[in-house]
Amino acid sequence: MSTTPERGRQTMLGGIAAIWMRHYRVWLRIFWPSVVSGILNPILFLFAFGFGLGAVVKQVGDISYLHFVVPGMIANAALFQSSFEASIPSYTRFRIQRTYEAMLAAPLFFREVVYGEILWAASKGVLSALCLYLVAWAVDGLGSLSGALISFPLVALSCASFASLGLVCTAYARTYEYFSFFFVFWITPSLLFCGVFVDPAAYPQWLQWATWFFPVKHLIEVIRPLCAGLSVDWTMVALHMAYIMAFMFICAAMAARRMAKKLFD
Amino acid sequence: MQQTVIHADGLRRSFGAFEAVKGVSFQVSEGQFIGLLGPNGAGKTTTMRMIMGMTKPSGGTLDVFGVPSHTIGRGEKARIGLVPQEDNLDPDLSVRQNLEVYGTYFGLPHDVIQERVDTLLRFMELSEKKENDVRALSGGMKRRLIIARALIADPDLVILDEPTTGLDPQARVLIWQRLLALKSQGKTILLTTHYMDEAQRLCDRIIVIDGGRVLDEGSPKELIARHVEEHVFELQKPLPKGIEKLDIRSEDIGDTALFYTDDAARLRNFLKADMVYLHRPANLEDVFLKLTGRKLREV
Repeated sequence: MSTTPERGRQTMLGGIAAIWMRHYRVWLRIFWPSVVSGILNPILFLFAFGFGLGAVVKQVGDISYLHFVVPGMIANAALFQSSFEASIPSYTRFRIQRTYEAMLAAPLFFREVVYGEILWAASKGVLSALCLYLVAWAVDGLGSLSGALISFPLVALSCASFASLGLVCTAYARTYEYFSFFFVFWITPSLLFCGVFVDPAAYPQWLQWATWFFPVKHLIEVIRPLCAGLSVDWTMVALHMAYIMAFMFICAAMAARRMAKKLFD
Repeated sequence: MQQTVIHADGLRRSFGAFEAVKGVSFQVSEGQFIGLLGPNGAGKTTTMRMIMGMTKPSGGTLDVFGVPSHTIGRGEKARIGLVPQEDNLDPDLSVRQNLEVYGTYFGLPHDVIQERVDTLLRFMELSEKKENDVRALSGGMKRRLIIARALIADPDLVILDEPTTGLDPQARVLIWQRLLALKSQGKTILLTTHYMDEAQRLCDRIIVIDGGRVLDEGSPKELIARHVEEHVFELQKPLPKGIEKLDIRSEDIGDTALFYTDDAARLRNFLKADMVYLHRPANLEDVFLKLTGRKLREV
């Protein structure tokens, strides 16, 4: 070894990047299973509902069912991929493999671990969403290409919000079984009641109100008119996005607080 | 003058009503090989975690490289290599990738990482396994890889928490050789163990702790001289009649009794020629058992 040891110089951004790259290398090692679950699965859904249900429903308001369901599918893929990655896989790294402890013994700070996890989980959602955009574009499922382009960064931002909720579950779960709460009270209602397949206006009033809790409903409300090429109320876009961001900050803070307690006690 | 690497003074740590560390003071100077010796539950791991800044002391002071441990920054952390007791290798990565990725956590440049990884794989005799899955490694190889990982940033201080627990003798000997090689490179080493032979063989100075307190500290020789007689006779029962009249300190450990004495000839003369017994020099284990008692831990 050299006489003047090179110890490296870590920075906050460098630390987050190092954690992101660690996840990326693992992802490359399990490339095919990752592609099947992250990309192929949402595409299957898109085809099943876009063409299957689309053959029956044809029209929702002024737009075709395909144009209606594509933004819902994009939002849902983003939601599932990002919040799932921050749930069971993060939990495995946190509690089973003790990966975070290994990271913290290196010159990384806890906040970088949290940001790195959220950023990585969000990246998986972004990748899924991107693939759906491309497939939808290829099958003429986007009513407005410029609208779709504007909606993409909003979807990407929302992925960080979805990931943060996953990380809350990771922070609070005692065992894997606790993730039933995550699926039953988060994934399923986000898919069924937030306007992915059907106009949420079809549901009873109280349910319509209650589901505003779910950020994915806000995201669909934002990107559906954008992708379909309908008129957009930009004030409402700003308000919906503000909710999604507020949701992210609250969840990230809750998750960080709880995880720090478990790691540093 | 040698620099002080770790300075603990009246260090305490409680978890609720339980006090794991009850006022521990010690000092580790540059280039020393220090053993923290104690039974399970003595407070060793808690002390280690405090040194790493993972747990905040509830009282006393603990400075690492002159900085209070719970405020150590990247600069200090980069100078410490930690070998934790529990395996936290990255099972999702290969042997080689484990080292490479860990190097990126330190912000090391790519070419430095590549060079160090090769050196460390050779140093820990893992070169042939470099493409293997970590999950497929034996316990001894995993330990070696964790040690290699701790060395990726060429640390000044290496902290090892029971690095050889559960390993076979060959694996232990290899690790001992490597630790001595690190010491000769001038690194400061803090080792916790409950293997006396390990501590006696490796450490310049030993700190015996139990129940969250320092019982004594010194070189292995000093500790033996201070606490136990020079010779130990292990006698099978039944014991010869009248031996108690010799007034030799003894300890009953079941089918055998241990007799501690400085006058070996006097005791040997008393024993009949056909008696089966073992006469050995006193070792650290005798010190340890005298200091910490024979009561079983974690009951």
